[in-house]
Amino acid sequence: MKNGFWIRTRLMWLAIAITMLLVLPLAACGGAAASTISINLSNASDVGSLHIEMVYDPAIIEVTAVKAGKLAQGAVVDSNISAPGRAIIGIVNANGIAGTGVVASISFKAKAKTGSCALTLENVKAYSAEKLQEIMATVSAGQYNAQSKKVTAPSITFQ
Amino acid sequence: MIVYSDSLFRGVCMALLVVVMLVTVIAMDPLGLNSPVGLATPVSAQGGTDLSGQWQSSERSNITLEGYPYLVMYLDQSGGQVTGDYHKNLGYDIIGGKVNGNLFTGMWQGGTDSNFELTIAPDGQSMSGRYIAVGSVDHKPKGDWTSITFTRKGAGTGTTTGMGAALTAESRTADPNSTVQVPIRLDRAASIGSMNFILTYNAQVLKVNKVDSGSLVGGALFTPNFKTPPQVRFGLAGSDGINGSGPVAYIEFQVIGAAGTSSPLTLSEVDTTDTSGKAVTVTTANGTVTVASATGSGNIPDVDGDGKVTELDALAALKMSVKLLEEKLKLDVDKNGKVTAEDARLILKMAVGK
Repeated sequence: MKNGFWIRTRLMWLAIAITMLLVLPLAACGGAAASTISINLSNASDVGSLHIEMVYDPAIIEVTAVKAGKLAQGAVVDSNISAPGRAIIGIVNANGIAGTGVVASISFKAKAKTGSCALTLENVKAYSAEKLQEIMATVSAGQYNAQSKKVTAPSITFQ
Repeated sequence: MIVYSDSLFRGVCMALLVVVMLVTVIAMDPLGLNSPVGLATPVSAQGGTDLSGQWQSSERSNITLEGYPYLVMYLDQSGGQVTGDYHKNLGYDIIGGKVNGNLFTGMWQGGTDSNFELTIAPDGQSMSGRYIAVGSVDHKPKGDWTSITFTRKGAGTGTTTGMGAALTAESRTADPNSTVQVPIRLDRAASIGSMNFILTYNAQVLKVNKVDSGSLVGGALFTPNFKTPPQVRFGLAGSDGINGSGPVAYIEFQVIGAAGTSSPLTLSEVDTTDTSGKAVTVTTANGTVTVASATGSGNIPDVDGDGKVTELDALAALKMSVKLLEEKLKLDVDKNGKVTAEDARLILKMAVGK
């Protein structure tokens, strides 16, 4: 009787461990990590308005939504994802965005199991909140690899 | 003995679970910080060479609203790739295309998706060809080809072509008795060590309120002198060199001319050296400030007068809504008699093409 309880207990713990071992990593790899593209800002200071266009290969991914990132909390954010291959994001903050971090998160669905696509930023324009004057920025492209589901985030760096 | 073995086994399983969960949490990237490691080489956000600039459509005459560029392509070219917007009424289509020799082909997408084929004129000042509407999903032709011509807007003024450094006085439209901020841009700068130039305007139409340095200047020395109308003299110098493209100066003008008048913004006496002291050739492109007619001034919520509805206009509306800027009713999009945060939201929608 005691021996049977011991075996059942062991089997139960073993089952839980194996389940967690299999399910959690799958959720991590197939879900959140690969389904969001973060657009990072670096060294932002008094950014009152920001226009971003992210160009991607619509055969590889499908953009489903755009959300404000942590750096854009308190900003007005809108987007247009109706044209496949291009996500347009507009951000306005009268107090000015400052610092380094994620300004927008782009959710997407993978459409291909192999291949990769560049996540290129185009027509990026930033203006200062105080003077309404253009602020210089450089952009770096990101990448999505369909096989590994790895996202390399595109970024915008202010001088 | 049995109790000891069971506890040991349970402990091992627990430890295994903790490790798995930790690895999972890290892999899920809860802060949304995808690694920026291994990024491509940075490129300028403001690229553009041959076709970059504004192109006026030949179909403009069909549009009855005056004073604003209702059928204008704004293009940015980088290598053979061309992107941009085709502004139509209050919205715009997104342009994506390629240049191969003198042929510019591509598609504009938004209101009515269309394929286009344009042949660039030898002087680079116009493009002629045709376009055809296509299905928004299958991209198959719907209807017939239509002829169209685009002319470089303000050919000879306000635009620059080629690969060398270029200094541009941008054009703006402004209301009577308003202020307008005009950027002076330097494009394709490479190790510019010093620069002097003069901007001349019509003192019967404009009066200079102030001059600011642009963000391209960075830490370089910048000295303007606007005490001798109708000229503004500029001096720039920096030991690190000015590189890239962007604004070198902003001039805030008070508009004193009547509606319908205009002032040329003429650049002259440009003396430029690189950081080694060697002379650098800089081409110039002049601009214009046009004082809007009363009927044309309120048609689109464009407060900076660049002819486009952008996030900057939304920002201005937001600042006006809390009295941080003087209210301009051209930004009252919902026509409730005042500029509010709702107008900023609506203008932002226009800026992203919704």
